[in-house]
Parts: sequence; C-alpha cells; structure tokens
Amino acid sequence: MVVSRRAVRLPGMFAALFNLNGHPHYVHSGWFLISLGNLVVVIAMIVVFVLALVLPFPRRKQP
Amino acid sequence: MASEEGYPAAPDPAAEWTGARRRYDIVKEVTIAFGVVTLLAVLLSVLFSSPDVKPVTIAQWATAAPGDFVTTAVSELDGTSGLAGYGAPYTHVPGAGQNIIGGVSIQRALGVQIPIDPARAFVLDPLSIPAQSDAQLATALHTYESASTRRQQAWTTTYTKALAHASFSNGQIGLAPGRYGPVATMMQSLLDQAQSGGLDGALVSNTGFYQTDYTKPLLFLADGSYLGNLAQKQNLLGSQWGMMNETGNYPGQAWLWLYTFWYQVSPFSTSDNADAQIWAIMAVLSLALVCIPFLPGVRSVPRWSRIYRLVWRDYYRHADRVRPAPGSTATTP
Amino acid sequence: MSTLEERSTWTVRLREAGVRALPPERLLPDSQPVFVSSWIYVFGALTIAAFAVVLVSGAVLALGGVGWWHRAATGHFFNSIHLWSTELFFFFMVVHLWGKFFMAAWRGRRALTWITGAVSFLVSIATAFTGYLSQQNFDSEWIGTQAKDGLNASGVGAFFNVLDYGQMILWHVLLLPLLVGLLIAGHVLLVRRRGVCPPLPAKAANDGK
Repeated sequence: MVVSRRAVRLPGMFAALFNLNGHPHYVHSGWFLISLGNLVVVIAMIVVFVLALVLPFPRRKQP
Repeated sequence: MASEEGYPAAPDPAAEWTGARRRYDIVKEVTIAFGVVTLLAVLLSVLFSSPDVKPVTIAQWATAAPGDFVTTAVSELDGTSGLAGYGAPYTHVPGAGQNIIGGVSIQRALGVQIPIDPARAFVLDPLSIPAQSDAQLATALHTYESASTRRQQAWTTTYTKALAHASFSNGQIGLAPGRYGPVATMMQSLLDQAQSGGLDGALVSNTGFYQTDYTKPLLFLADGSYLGNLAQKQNLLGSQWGMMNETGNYPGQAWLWLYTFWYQVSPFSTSDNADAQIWAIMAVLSLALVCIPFLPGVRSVPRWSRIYRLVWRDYYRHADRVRPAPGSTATTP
Repeated sequence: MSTLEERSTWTVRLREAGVRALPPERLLPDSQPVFVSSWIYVFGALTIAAFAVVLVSGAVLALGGVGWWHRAATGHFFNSIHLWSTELFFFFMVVHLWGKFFMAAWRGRRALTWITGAVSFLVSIATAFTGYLSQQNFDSEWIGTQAKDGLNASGVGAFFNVLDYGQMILWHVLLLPLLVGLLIAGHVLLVRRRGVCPPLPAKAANDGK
C-alpha cells in the first residue's frame, strides 16, 4: 500500500485518505505472483475465519 | 433446565430439532449486520476510494504509438491481423477457433454471430468519411478497391515491410520510396483521422445515432500492442495472474485465483487452446463445488478435519455434562 | 368458514401451501437451537447485509446515470461504496462457505441449501464480472478484450458479447442481480424450512451424509 506524500485534496469527505493508485506492489516467488492488495484480503479472510471459530460466543438465556 | 433430551449426542440431521433452544432476534441480527457492513464500506471508501483509470482512445493510441497503430491498421486491411484470423464469432475462417479436446470446438460449432469484416470495418468504411471532401483520398480508395486481391496484397506487403523502418514525426509517416500503391495515402489519412479523434466516433457510429456497442474499437485496440503494454505495467496480463488483479494497489478479484492459476502452468501456459481447455476444467470444478454433498471423499473432509469440533465445542461440553456416566441408572437433573 | 368451492381457488391453495411450508414462527423465529453458538454463524447474515449495501449503492449510482461517477466526487464516493461492499460481499460469502463446508451443513436433506448457495456464489462472480465491464474506463477495456477469448472459446461469447456495453450494463443492473436475489431468497427460505443443520456426532466415524 502506498501512502501518498502529496497534499490530498479533500472536497468534502469524498477523496481517499490513502492513494492506492500508485505503482503496484507484488509478492513474487517463482511462478507465484500475487498483488499486495489481494494478499492482504486473503490473509484477512483466513484470520477472520479462524477468529470466528475460536472466539467465545456470548451465552444468552434459554426460553 | 438442561437434560439429555435437550442435548442429544448424535442428533438426526433429517429430523426436526426438538432439543434445547435459545432466544434469538433475527430482525435485530440482520439490522446490526446491515449497520456494520454499511459502516465498513463507508470507512473503506473514505480510506481508499476506488480506481478509475481513464479509458484508452484510438486517438491516444495513434498519437502515443503511431507505428503500432499503422502496423495494426495495415494488418486489418490485408487480413493478417489477429481478428482476421480469429474465426467465430467474428470472422469466417475454416478451422480457426479453440478446441476443448481433439477436434471438438464449441466455438466453431456456433459459428459467426458477430460478423466483422476487418478491412471494411477498420479502414475502408472509416476512410469513406474524409474521402467525401478529399479527392486524393477518394481516388486512392477507388484504386485500392478496384484492384485485384493479388495487387492489393503486393501493396500491403511492401508497405508493412517498409513500416519497420518508418519514421513518425508531427503526424507524418516517413517511408523510404517504394511501390505502395494507394496504401500509403490511405494509411496517412487513417492516421490523421485517428489522431484527430474522428476514428473513435467513426468506429462506433456507423450503425446509427445512439451508440452502446464498442465491439469494433475494442477489437481494433486489442489487435495492437499499445493496450497490452499499458496492462503489463499494471500486472494485468494473463501470464501475470492478471485476472485476479486491479490497477494500482487495489485488491482485485481474489476469488478468480483458481481460474487464472491454470494459465500459469504447463501445458496450458503454452497451449493454443488454453482458453477452451481451462473453461472446460473450470466448468467441471464448478459443478463439483455445487455437487459436494454427493461426492464421496470430498463430503467426508469435514469429519476428517474435525474443525467442526471448534464450532460446536460449547454444545459438546454441555452434552457431556448432562449425559449420565456409562453404567449409571441415575436420570439427569 | 369458507365453502369447498372457495377453498379450491389457486390463491387459497398457494396460501395454504406457503403457510404449511413456512408458518410465521418458522419464517421469523424468535428462538434457535442451542448449538447455534459460534461466530461462524453470523457470516450468512453479513453476506446478505453486504448484498443489500451493494444494491442500495448501485441504486444511487443508477440515480445519477452511468457517467455520473466519472464526473462528480459524490458519484465517485458511491462507486467506492459499491466496490468495497462487493469486496465485503465476497469476503463474507467465502468465509460463510468455508464454515458451512467444515460443518457439513448439507446433511439431513439440506443438499439443495448447499446447491443454491454454491450457485449463488458462481452467479455472483458473473454479476461482479459484468460490473467490471460496465465501468467505461481502462479496466473495462482490458477485462473485456481479455475475457472475450475465454468466452468465445466456450461458445458463450457468440451470444454474450463482453464488448457490447449496452448488453453488459443491462445484465449487470437487472438480470444478474435479480437472479442472485432469487437464489439468495431460495437459499434462506430453505434454511428456515429445514432448520439449522445440527452438530455432527461428537465421536463421528461415518461419511458426511
């Protein structure tokens, strides 16, 4: 993820705080190539899945 | 009160659940979910916005890469372009089209449904517009169209060879002297038309006033190298797992990972029929995904993995507590 | 009390079949089995919520027209919401799919629930695909000119022209979301009808039937 160091125009709340339009960053190993954006999303999915399984669920009263 | 009946150890999944229940507010859950997702989407939008890289126009292509543009245009004229040899659904080319296996080709079987004559579509018809007020161009067009196929090919072949050493300056194509016939005039006029923006409109508007179909300009762009070169810089090529990717650092379509994976590995990475073969593979795998409940082995993975024990650990703990110890005659409280 | 003649109407038959299959307390329950006590169970609702945000943000984009988001900052903002809610939709849907797979949630005559869910996933991919094609920017140009080869090779391209913006925008805005919506509705009604799939036996040994 590239954090733009240029001054960011902010017409109201509609401009991005972080500019993702810059030079793309990739993780490359042999024939495997994945963008940093996609890698973050995939890792987040796995983390969220594991957390959903292990985090305790609040107990409620039975009817 | 907890009892063995409330926490059956091996509940029948086909039977109605008659065990213990807990209070549940479905409307509240969906409302909270909607609020959470809205907040997340707004937050992500404020943080990162969304990409909007301007589209490439024919004018941009012709100005930034005039050599590539003219080379592509000549190949459309003489029928040596990628589109001219593509086959169905665009052009009638016997034997063209990808095979799934052996000689089986759905592409060929369905035939030409979006007919395009590349020479007419990309060169002759667009040039007929400026020819209405350019006598020299009108004569060149007439000369070309009334010549024999053999003569036309001789001109275009000579012109194509000369293009490799041509210069492009101030919109002028600089060629060594040669027997190009009317092709030199036609290509210069086409380049002028393209660089001025007239070709963008001409390729779309020749079917009527209101336009929504960009098949022709896009196929023309795709036959050149300019669009692909821009895509390569953004890691969007098929050989770069491009199907998953987005411009810049935005996340793309990670869910297409398995589809694009096959393009990276042999034999598909070098196969002329890769698209057809991979589509067939993905159709089978998609069907397998839908039919998992019926696939022996695959449907047993949940039991082997034992991940379910994490999901229902509270339930199993309760079930163990309320079940009488083996050999005991005491009833559960 | 209705007469025999009144009870034979299509309306009465449909109503009674509907109420038999899904009585109100089953359609909108106020309790659920005690084993539904894991965070993995919320991902179905999160997926539906994300779909709703996609639809609402898409409707706002439709209000402004197809070119609005290229010209106006507000339009671009709603395009961003539409994009990120789509990313969230797939995120939650895949986690939901993983969860349901590892719970073997197709057991007990629930195969159709799994099938409608898996088909929803595939149709959602097609819906997102037509969305990318409808952007009218560099992305659409590239995705369209690349995707055409795979679609043409399978024969689909003869009738589904990814370079025809007019066709793609209508598939994206009307046909495919309608199909996704119907599939999701069917999927949810099946869950309500059959009930949530109960736990596997604690000491499981057999096939995941």
